[in-house]
Amino acid sequence: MDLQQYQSAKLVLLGDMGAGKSSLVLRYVKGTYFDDLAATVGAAFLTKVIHELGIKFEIWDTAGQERYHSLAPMYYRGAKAAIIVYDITSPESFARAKNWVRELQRQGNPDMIMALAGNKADLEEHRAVSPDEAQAYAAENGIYFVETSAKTAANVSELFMDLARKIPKVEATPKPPQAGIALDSQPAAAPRSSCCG
Amino acid sequence: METGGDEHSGPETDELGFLLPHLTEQQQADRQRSHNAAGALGREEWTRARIKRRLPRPRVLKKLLRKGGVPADLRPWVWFEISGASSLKASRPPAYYSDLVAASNEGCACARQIELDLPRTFVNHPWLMAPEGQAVLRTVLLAFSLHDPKLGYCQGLNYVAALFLLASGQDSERAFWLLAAMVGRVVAANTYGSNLVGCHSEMRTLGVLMEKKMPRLHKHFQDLGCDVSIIATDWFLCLFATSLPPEVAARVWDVLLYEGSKILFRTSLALLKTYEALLITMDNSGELMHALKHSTGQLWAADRLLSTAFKGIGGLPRAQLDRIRRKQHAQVAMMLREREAKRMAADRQQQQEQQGKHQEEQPGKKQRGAARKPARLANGTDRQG
Ligand SMILES: Nc1nc2c(ncn2[C@@H]2O[C@H](COP(=O)(O)OP(=O)(O)OP(=O)(O)O)[C@@H](O)[C@H]2O)c(=O)[nH]1
Ligand SMILES: [Mg+2]
Repeated sequence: MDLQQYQSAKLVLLGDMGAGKSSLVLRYVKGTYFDDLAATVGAAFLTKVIHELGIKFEIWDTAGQERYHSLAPMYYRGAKAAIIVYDITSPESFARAKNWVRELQRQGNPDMIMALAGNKADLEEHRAVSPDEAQAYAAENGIYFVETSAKTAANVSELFMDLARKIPKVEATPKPPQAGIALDSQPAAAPRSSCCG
Repeated sequence: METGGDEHSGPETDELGFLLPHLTEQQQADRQRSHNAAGALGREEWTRARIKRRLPRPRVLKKLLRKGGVPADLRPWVWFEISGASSLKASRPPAYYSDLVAASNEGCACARQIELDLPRTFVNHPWLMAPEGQAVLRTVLLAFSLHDPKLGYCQGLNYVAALFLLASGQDSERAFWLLAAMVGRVVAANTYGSNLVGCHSEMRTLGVLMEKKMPRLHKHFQDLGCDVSIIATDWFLCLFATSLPPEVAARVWDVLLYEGSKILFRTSLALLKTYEALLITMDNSGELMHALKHSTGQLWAADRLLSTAFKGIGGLPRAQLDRIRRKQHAQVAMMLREREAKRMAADRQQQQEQQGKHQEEQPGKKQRGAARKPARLANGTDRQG
């Protein structure tokens, strides 16, 4: 089948540093778990084709440290889907996840499909965020919730597949909306900003 | 056994101790040529400097640093002098560093974040992946977070500190002062500060320079909606330590530490120029970033990179650069303020909605909530001139 005909969908991962964003993406895309993964500075880009659905995910894995937050709009703008990741052993990471949900609700693409992933579910003995609490929060905000483990692979492909299924089908592949040059939140097709002078 | 010529029984490492990946013949040749150039140039001057324990004269030094770089065995000393680390250290009491280390044992606000990054810093370096190396890196980063508490810890510093450690014989105090000099004196102010405001300004400045020097490539970036930050964030935060082979990054630092942050632009522009033909063929920003990362990670021809940086991209007058930077800085500061104002306004609105709901249940509590929190930052005031 011609890859050109696949619908490309931008997917962004957001969440606290060390929550396991990169591990989740690599588990999904490469099918393995890396013990010695480097911390993400800036962002990483990976793609994954889902033949059954005719979708090509263009995945942006972002950096999690709080102060990198100011770089994030560049990555979530124009995204069709977002996975907000927290670490079930860290209440701080859950609080940050909620901040991301709020930010996407007000700045992101209004049709963006969001999922909340409570990662490191294999560390049950260190759990600090209850699934009920997270589930209730997700339901309140109308987003999909699942607990995952990049380490054991639990629910990882389910998470991505679920998002993929929810992405509305479009006929011909449109040119994916791209980030403008300006850093503030502008419509996707923003004209050239004043960066040149 | 003793007579066997095979001294490399384990995997091969470079002079900084990094495991060497498999290199193609071309890459080996590039690497060898760069090393030879470094060895040949200025051998006499460096020998004299070593004996006298005095750096060559500034004009000579500048040329030596650009053309051949510092011989690896002299780096601990030369970097310490040219970066300003030495004078920074001299400006503080002798026990300054050991006091910081002692204080950091009492606990640090940034300890958790640093801890998370220790096992994720240069995973291709055996010493850093062992408890011993991580303990030394932890000490340096914790001490730095107390030295500059406003900055604390920012991801990226782990790589910078680690490369300093490896290049200065794993001496933690030396690495600490080098890191302090790099952050405080070499790179742009607030590069690592809250919101990374300095980093944003530098990246946008790079965008402007790119438009001037490589208009075709700049246009291509715009057509793809590829912001410069997508490719340059790690350049300005890790200072090429994660983008280039580490020994090539160290070669860039030979010049960076002496000539200052302008070198980051020269190197960035040289990288863009080197891979311009490839980048032009990419048709989305993700693939473009991916291709560039992949290519720079295999750039072993340090000599060519530096010669492009100094001869291949034309002039970069300080006054012009500073003008562009000031303008970009003002724009970034304004953009960040506006964003913050929007966020606060939305928060307020949400709060009011919630309180509205609340009031339906409990009349009488509304007034207080609605009057709270006056709008902050409606208009920029601390714009830098
Ligand atoms: N036990 C367990 N550990 C995990 C899991 N996922 C990630 N980790 C570990 O958590 C640490 C951080 O994982 P990363 O994937 O690098 O986290 P990140 O969210 O990409 O972090 P930043 O790049 O700093 O934003 C690593 O040491 C991983 O090995 C998981 O599902 N279970
Ligand atoms: Mg990551």
